[in-house]
Amino acid sequence: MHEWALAESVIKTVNEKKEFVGKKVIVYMGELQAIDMEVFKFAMEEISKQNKKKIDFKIVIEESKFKCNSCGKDFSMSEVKKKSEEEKENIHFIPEMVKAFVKCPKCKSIDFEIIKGRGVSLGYE
Amino acid sequence: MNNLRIDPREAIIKDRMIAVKNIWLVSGFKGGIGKSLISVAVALGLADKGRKVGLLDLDITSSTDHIILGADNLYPREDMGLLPPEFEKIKFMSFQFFSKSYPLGFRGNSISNAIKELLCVTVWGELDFLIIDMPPGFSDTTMDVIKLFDKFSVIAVSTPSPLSKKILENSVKVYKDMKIGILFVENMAQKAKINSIRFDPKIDKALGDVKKIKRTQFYKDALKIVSKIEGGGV
Ligand SMILES: Nc1ncnc2c1ncn2[C@@H]1O[C@H](COP(=O)(O)OP(=O)(O)OP(=O)(O)O)[C@@H](O)[C@H]1O
Ligand SMILES: [Mg+2]
Ligand SMILES: [Zn+2]
Repeated sequence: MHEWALAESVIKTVNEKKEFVGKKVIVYMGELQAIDMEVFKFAMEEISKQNKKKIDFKIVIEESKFKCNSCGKDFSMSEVKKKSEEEKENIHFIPEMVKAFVKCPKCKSIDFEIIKGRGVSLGYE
Repeated sequence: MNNLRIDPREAIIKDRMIAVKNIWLVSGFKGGIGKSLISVAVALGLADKGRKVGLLDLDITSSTDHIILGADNLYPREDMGLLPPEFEKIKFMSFQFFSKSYPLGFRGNSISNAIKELLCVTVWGELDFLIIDMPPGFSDTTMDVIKLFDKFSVIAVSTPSPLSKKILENSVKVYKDMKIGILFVENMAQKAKINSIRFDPKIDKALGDVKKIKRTQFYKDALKIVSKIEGGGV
């Protein structure tokens, strides 16, 4: 499961960066990446156990937001045509692949920015 | 609560490369000068010599290595990350596995994000050589690779064209300043010379078929580059 690889990167970053010392970590999860939450949490637990260092974290899901560079329209995943399982899987691995399968709903341009909700990022309370 | 955002991916990328002994970027500062053909030929040559080889196509918006190899329908396997599929004894990774035949309208930030994402989750395991096919020029991708990798060398491809030579000279200064090893290769050369690959009118007919590629003069010339980088290269 590739959720493990992401959990590893989260744990390594939290353990290395002094910003996180004594803080409750927020793991922001972009809608596009559609992480399997149970697998991710399980991986976080297992890797923390191996490291003998518990991490206090919570998960916040972020809705996707795009902005079209051609016509300026703001849109989200919920406004575009439903994607096939295969397309979803490709976006799950590399969220930017949304650019292969999605067009601006207004002007059909493929030139849009992913403003929010791509993948995993970290913050703290 | 605050607005601070930290990207967890960068911390792990160097770890993922830990068992990769040598990283070679195949770079050149113009388009269409044979970077992809050379990347594939060098990877095939190293694999033939029993080396553990990875091939990474980082020319995101116009990947071609899968076409040269004739590698259709490959897809990575998931196991604590993404395992590159093996093709002709090469561990091969390309964005094309995910984008299929759709065009990717990427600007700088998307390129960086996609590269980081792929490098964060790809599990190469032990490799003697990782060959990376780069997009032309000193691009966003080049900048990302310099930032994300600890140590790599460069195969700098040019052609007999004075334009190709001139722009190469300017660009390699950056690598020289960073003390990065460079192996200069002249492609489409008119006659056989050291570190050169001759113009081979038959190469296009061999594309997509590894057996045919291995019978070309192009491949035989590329094997000289293989011997060179096996010996440390520069
Ligand atoms: N030694 C050679 N002899 C004959 N033709 C060659 C040779 N090297 C390259 N070519 C021709 O140039 C074409 C482009 O090669 P290739 O795709 O490897 O270049 P590239 O530098 O990777 O291009 P890009 O910048 O688009 O990625 C090949 O399809 C082939 O027709
Ligand atoms: Mg190329
Ligand atoms: Zn638009």
